[in-house]
Amino acid sequence: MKNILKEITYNRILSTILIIFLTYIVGKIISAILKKLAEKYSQKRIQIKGFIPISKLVIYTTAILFISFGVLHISKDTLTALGLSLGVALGFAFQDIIGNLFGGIIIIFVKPFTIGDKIKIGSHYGEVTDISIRRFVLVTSDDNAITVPNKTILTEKVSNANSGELNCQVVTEIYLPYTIDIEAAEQAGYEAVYASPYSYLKKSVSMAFESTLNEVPVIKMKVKAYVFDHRFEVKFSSDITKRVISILSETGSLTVKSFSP
Amino acid sequence: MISRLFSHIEYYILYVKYFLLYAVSFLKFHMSIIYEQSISQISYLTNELQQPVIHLIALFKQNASIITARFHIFLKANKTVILIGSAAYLGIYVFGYLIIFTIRHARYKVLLKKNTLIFSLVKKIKKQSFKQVFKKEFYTNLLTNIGRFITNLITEILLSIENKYGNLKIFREPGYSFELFSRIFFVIIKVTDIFAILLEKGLIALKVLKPKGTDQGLFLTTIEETDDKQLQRVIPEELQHEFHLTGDKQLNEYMDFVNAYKKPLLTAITKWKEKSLSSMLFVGKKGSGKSALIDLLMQRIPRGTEIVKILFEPDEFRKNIFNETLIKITGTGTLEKAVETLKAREKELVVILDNIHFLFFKDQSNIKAFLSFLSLIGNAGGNILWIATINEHSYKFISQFMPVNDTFDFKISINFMKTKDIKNIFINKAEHCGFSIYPRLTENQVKLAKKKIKKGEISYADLPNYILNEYFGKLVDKCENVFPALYHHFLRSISYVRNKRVYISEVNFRDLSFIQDFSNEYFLILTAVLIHEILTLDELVFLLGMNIERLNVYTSFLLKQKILEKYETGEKTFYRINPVYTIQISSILKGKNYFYF
Repeated sequence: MKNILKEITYNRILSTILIIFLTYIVGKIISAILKKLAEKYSQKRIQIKGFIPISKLVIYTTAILFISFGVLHISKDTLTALGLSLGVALGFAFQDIIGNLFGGIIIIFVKPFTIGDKIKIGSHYGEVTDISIRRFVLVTSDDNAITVPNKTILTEKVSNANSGELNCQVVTEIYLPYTIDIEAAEQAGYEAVYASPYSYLKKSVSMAFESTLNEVPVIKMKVKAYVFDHRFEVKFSSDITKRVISILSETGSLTVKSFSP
Repeated sequence: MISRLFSHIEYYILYVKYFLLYAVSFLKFHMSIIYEQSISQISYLTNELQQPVIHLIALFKQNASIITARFHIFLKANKTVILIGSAAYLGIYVFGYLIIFTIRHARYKVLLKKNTLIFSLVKKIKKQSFKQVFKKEFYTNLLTNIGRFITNLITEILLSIENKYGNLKIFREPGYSFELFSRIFFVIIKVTDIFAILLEKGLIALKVLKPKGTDQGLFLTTIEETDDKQLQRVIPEELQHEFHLTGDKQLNEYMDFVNAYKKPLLTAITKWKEKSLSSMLFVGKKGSGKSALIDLLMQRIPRGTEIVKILFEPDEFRKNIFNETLIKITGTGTLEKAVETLKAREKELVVILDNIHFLFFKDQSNIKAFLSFLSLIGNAGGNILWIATINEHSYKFISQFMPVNDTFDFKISINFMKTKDIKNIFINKAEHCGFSIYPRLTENQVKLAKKKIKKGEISYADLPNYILNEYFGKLVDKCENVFPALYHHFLRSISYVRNKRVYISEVNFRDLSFIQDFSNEYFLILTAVLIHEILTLDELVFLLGMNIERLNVYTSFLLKQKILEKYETGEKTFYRINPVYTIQISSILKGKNYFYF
């Protein structure tokens, strides 16, 4: 310990602070450039954004190694001594941080999701906008940013809606009167998907119906279709609902007839 | 301007200082060498003769040392004088620069009035005001100057190192170190400059350096569009008329040499005769020559065959278009009866349907109509040959969810016209009204061509032809065979016309990358218009589910930017993409994922 303290001079402390500051700036600049690039080439948005956490990891690791061996000149012996004496104590104290670090490494290398993906973790659903060593950020459809610690992925189930692709399936649920003509409703569903400006028509479109009780019996119609960019998920869903209702209203199918259970 | 001025001041002061310091060290060093060498050179002289020479040399050395030492002291003591001197030099430089620019500008103005032949040369300069020029230079030089500043900083650091560690070997030999450092500096200056330029370009591409408003701020790529009034002054009316209109009589003449189409088309007709083919589809971008090819094909259909040609116009009421078509072909308005009538037919019939994408409207009720139309083609029987043309963008979109490829037996994509063919079309068109096309050689082009001549790749006689080929190659690359775009850029590349010779120079293409930052609504509008080729405002409202007031704002801006253009027919006003920008816009939409198909 004495050796370590001997090594630490004011000069080295200043150099360390300067390197940390520079690393932070460089990390930010690279992230900003990659984000700009991703927005410019939207088609490859997710792939480009996938480099952000990797670049951050590389920059931070390089900075830590440089500070340890280049500035503070920590020798092998010192490192071993530090590992032995502080390892156990710090391990307990910083187990959350270490858990987050492991979670971060898993996210970066195993890639259960990447920046730009729409994921559901716990009760939260949204677009991943940032991944760092410690935490990742989800932005929900209500524009709320949720910071989730990385270690959550070790314990919680993660569902990924688009897995690195921009298009993703959107299931739109529409409640229709029990007396609805199912065939007409199905046709309206298909037409609405074909007519929507947000639909991704390279993948299949399907409809599902089920009768359910919501104070009165109703038909729940599920329109399963793909949106070409998951950012339009909400717009797509509302557009489909609007179009289906409009088609059915035009044909008179939505007129509620008397129903006796 | 301010950045340029400051950069110049710093740049020159530092280098003057640097040069003077080295000059002093250099002189000091060489004085001692001259002294030692002179002594050795006179060793063969007798002592009597040696003495006065040695005395003279010693005197010279002493005086020179005194002079250089005084000069050194003077330099150190008179920093302000050097600063003022350099500033005065710079002032004169900037003043001279301004005067030269003013004279040039004035000269161009006078020439412009007197001689219209150099009009194209000076049109850009005329359009740029002083303010614009300096603004442009300010931005262009900003980052380069940062690079220079860094270089100066490095120079300063090296000088201070020299002061501190001057006793090292490298610093004791000023000649060697000067050479070494000057080389290093040269490399550093070059590299820094290149990096500064690259960084600047990169930052613009990434929109980090954001230009104000529209493309006006994109100083590296801004291209001034020639308006039609200016065009009228340069290009003779008959030539413009020739390039804008394609009469039926000339069609065969222009298209006949496009041999690539002939073989597959004749094979298709033979197959139809053998009853193994009943429908053909021509796919191509707007203006790629689909309709022209069909006209050419009609001349090859055997005499006596009945031909019905339907040219779908966008002004027809879209919802009734299908029934109206059926009546035109079969005389009946229902699908079942139409199929029966066509199946019962004994005489051969050729139905030509031009622009079938106007049958399709991305609307709930119309999707059914288009499907019915496809089923009519598929079930009509072997005595009928259906020949249809469709816009490439519409085709790519529709074929995702409609069985277009399964319905048509034979499909040709009209996109393989070669550069040579297009060049011939233009030359023929010019010759048709008595003009010939010549390249206007720039210095750079001649330099490049000379290298090729030296290598033996081309001869002097081939030079104009070689440059014409280069010109058309670029034109075709940028316009992808879209004729309206080709015409537009060709007409705007005419420098001047003299003695029935049309001189053309490099083509300028307007950069539309500023639309990358537009909001999603603009991209949705552009995608919808590209898919349908043309749309009314009401149709756009219906397709995109936006209210008309909002849509009006977006379309007005796109019209102002000349990205959209209005097309009026009858009482209706349609919007369509300016054909000149179709290729650029479709590639931007692809990049943005709106054109995923």
